[in-house]
Amino acid sequence: MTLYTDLTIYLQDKPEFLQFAFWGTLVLTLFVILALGYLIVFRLNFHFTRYRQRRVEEEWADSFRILREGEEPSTYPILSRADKPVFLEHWLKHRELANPEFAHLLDLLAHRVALRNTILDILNPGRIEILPSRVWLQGIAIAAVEFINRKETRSALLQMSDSDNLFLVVQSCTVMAKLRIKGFEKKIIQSLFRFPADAPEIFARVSRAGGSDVLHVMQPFLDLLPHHTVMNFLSLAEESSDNSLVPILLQRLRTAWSNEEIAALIRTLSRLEAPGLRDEIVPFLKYPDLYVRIQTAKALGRVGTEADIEHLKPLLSDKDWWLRYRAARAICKLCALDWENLENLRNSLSDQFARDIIKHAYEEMDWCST
Amino acid sequence: MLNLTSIEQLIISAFIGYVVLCSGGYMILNFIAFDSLRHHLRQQRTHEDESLYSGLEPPICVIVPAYNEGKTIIASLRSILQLNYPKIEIVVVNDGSSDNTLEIMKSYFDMEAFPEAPRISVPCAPIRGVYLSRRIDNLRLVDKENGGKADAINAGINLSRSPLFCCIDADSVLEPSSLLRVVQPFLSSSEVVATGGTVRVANGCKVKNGHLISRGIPKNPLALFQLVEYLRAFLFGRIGWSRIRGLLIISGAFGVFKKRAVIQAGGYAKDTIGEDMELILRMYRTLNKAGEKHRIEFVPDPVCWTEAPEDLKVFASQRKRWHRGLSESLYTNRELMFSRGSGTVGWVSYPFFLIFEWFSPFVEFAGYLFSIYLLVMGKASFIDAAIIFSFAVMLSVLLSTISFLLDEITFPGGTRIRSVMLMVVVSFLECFGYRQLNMIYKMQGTYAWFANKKHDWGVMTRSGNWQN
Repeated sequence: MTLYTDLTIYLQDKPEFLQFAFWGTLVLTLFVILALGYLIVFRLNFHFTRYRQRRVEEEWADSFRILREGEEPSTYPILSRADKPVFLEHWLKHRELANPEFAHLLDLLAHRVALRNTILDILNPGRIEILPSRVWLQGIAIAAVEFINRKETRSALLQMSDSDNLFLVVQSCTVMAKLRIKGFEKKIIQSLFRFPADAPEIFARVSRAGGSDVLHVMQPFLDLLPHHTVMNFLSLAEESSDNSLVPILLQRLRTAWSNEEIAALIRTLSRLEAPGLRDEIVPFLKYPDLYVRIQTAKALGRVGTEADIEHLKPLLSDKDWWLRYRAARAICKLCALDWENLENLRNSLSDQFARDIIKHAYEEMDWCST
Repeated sequence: MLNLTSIEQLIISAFIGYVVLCSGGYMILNFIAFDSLRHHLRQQRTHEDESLYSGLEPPICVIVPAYNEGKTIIASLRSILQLNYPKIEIVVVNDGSSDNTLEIMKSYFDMEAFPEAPRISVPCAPIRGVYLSRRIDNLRLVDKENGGKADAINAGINLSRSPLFCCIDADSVLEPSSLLRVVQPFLSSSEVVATGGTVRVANGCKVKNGHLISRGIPKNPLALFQLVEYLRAFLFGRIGWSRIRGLLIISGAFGVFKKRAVIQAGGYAKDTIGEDMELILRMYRTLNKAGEKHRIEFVPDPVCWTEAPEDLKVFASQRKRWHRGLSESLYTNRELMFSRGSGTVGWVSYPFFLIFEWFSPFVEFAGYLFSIYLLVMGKASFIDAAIIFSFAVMLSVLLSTISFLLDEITFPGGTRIRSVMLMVVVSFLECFGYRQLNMIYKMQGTYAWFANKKHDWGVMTRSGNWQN
């Protein structure tokens, strides 16, 4: 303090820049202390949460194990109100992993400790003071609604889908899609438009939970959503193996403009073994983009005929190794790995690179098949 | 009362102005980085791990240039082989090593000579031979005549088969999901031509079988100073620059590039010593001229661990090389500055790097000389000098502390709180000796570039103590 007083007196008749440097140093020191303080609080919070999680986990481990084995423990540990949010997290983990045969025992436990109220406390702001990570706990409470499916919890879930927090919106839309809650489509589409930058992620999560039904719901909105939502749509369409999506995808292939989308569409359609795909994709072998040509070569290997070998032959001399390799594999597939045919084909090629890659692909595929 | 002439007052004000502007710039980058990190973490929270495996990832070639890396090459390759990535090929380029790198590779991975004619897309020194591993089918070794790191990477590019390639140093260790994460921007936008991840100091950490098993901080003071410096550079510098599309450096230790764009730019330049930065600047220049849309991005969470020099001689040589590289890169690509269509790179990052990175050692040096002059002439007291110096020190400590905070937010609980406090002390102590040392090496680096002295990489001795 004396030093500070002495310095302020010393600086009274000094130039402005010196005073600026002095006060600047003090302010900066204060900021350093604040930043360090924030860092320490952040860390303490982190450790406190972990400590509480470990304690609850250790206390309840035996009870959860016995319940999942289909028996009921003679006594349960004491569960304080403050520990309930952490308990909910552990309960949810065990409920998700539980054998369906014994899952009702865990549901019974949830009923006994009134987890429904805990969920409502967490999802309705102001009912309980939740520290340290409110959003994280809210996410867990939302996920728990899948198993504690009551009228009140469902309505809390619908409210959460209007949240400004992306994580909570994604979580609630996912659970809504799983439970097929009335009006869930409207909520999902609303969220896609509220978070356009994150729409692909919301879309991927929700569709994964809701299956191909959700894909059909989303289909009319694809043109309005960001480009990468389409990519997610395609990867999910591929996973769903839903052939009723083929006409939509074929139509999209005719109008798509982005290289990635065309490549992905060709891949998806070939995996869905779309009828008439061969004729649609042959022109794409001359497409300027490398990825499109690679996917077309691969797709022809899957849906093409022996007549397509002539279309694939020029690609064997492409400057890009990956395309040569994919074209060679497709040719090997179309020749049904018949070495005599392939040898004749090799002899007809003048490019050494093309001959080498055919041999490479044949040896690799032959080795794999045996 | 200070007995200063108006010119002297003006000079002091200019020095303070320079420090405030420089730190202010970094402070703004800090805020941008903070916002960017918040956005990134928010997005990451909604990503499930399996969503990283979308199956649409393009094939990638990992190029590992190795020059006398016999001690660390096996551990490094073990780490690369454990990467989670669906389609990966590994090309190790032995750049005419004089140690047993080639023999170690051949015996450990059971490699045999394989006649392969590369398509030379970018110039490189003659290739002596290509070897294939009998044990690992996607591993190839290229033995070539010595030509430097840039030349080795160029050879790797010529031999690579994938549309993307990743460049990592042979003494680095990648975390298993690093590659999947660093490739994500390529999936999100076709404009992305290069991405980079965070590089952290591995001294003090323990690595076993290519896996990082424990994080720690180095005991060696020089490495400790560098640890603080790396955190500052990566955790707000690059994140901030990337957010405003002004990233000028992708670290040579860990970066992913679109092969087509690099070939279009002419590959790595062999006549420069800071080839990583030079390539990025040249890519900006070439793609700008060609009128192609392009983006270079930084992803904060894929981490690459690398060894920092613990020996003053090696450290000096590295710093001189870096600053010489900066000088060469900025000079060679000078037409990028304020050029039409160069965007943030030409109008913000390039001038910022020129004024506050390249020119800073000279301003710092002039500042010290001027302070000595004022003290000797009795125009300022030690208290006056101490006040101004404290201001500069506290600015530097604040910037470091914010980067520690960002580190805590990105990897909560990753570093022990005692270590964080030690790093705060180190960030304070670095202003008393380390900074000045750095300043001298930087000036020597600039002088070497100016005098056009013959450059060499020096002997980069690796302790390899952190790897088993």
